[in-house]
Amino acid sequence: MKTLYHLIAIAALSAIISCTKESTSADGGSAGAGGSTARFTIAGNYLYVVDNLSLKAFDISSNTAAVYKSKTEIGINIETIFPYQDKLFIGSSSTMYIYSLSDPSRPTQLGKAEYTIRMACDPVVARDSVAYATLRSTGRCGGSQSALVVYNIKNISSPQLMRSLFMVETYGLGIKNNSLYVCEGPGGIRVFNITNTYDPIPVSNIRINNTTFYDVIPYGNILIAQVNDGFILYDIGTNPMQPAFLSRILN
Amino acid sequence: MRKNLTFFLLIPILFSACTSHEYTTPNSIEGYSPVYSQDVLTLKTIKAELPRTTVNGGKIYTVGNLLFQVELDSGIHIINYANPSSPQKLGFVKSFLCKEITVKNGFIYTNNLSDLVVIDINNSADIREVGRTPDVFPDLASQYPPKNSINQFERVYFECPDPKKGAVIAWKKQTINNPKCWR
Repeated sequence: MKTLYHLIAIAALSAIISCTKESTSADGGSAGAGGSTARFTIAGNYLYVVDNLSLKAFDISSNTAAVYKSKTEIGINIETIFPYQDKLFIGSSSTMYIYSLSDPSRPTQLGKAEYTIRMACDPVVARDSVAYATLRSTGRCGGSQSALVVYNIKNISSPQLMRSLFMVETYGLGIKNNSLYVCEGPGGIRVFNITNTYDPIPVSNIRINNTTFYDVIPYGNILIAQVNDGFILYDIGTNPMQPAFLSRILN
Repeated sequence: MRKNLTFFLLIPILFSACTSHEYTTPNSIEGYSPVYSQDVLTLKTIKAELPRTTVNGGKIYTVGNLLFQVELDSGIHIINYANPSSPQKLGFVKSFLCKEITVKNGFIYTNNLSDLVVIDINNSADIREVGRTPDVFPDLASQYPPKNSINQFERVYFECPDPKKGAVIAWKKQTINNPKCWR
């Protein structure tokens, strides 16, 4: 543990210098990145937490304590929260919600899109004028199908469904440049070419026996995959469409 | 946790058809009963420990060359992947019922039971809790017994936890009578 302090210092420095962050950009100075299935996230000096029904905002500017600021009732079965620019994308079992952080202590709803597929888990990621969400059928969330759905969010108050791609079993997802990585549980990671933003084209699939893929963080040139017994790192600097295995933690 | 109200609604159907084994509440069945701990002080102790094996890898967060991964219900692995071909575990931060993680400015934000805790990791020799907000995650504290990993749709019956008896720290598989809770 003794090198930890130095590593954090190096980490902070490299974050400032390189600004490599791809998928989250609203978390202030830390330049870190979380997965798409998180239930809380940091944006600026605030920590946002979703529970089953609501969104809570906490001021963390003091570093030592999270000071409760507000609670906003959102809907039911809220699952995930993902920050992008000055917005929060919140996934529930039936709806994608978009909240504005123009007053960071009290987020306000900008828009929402109800899924046509009911009762599914749904992490969301977003970039510019597009939002990608996955819906899943199996497991504790019920429902009947899994899909990757694509929304045009140019008009943020009324996201427009552009595509639904049916898949076997979807979990978390992440974006780097023109690549979209979607976890398929035991089915591995499906890589989509999103050069045409609203029309993802499947280009490759990573799959490992007895390994369940739950979420990904594309971070600079590395794709970090959360799997059942730990994590796997892939190089996506060389060819983001074809992640190359680097390592897997074994103990 | 859902009370099996469906059962009562289905009583007439059961008497008329007697087909649906799936929807009956059994008198006696293999299920789970909670193991309680009254030692809340220990459960609420955040502390740094030596690296340990990842068994149930949970959510991830990264900043710089550091990767943080939840060990489901136990704590957080801290990993240095400056050399991504050979990542090294640096240590483990214990937090009971841990499921969530985010990090900013050398502070970990996570859950400990249903509380939101802030953990200062800027000094690796003195990793400690610096803030706690109670009951931010009421739904993370109510642990459930595991689902059947092969058949996710198979109903799992369990004794409803009684908060007066303490915090649920584990589930014991055994024959239970008239279970009122299932998932």
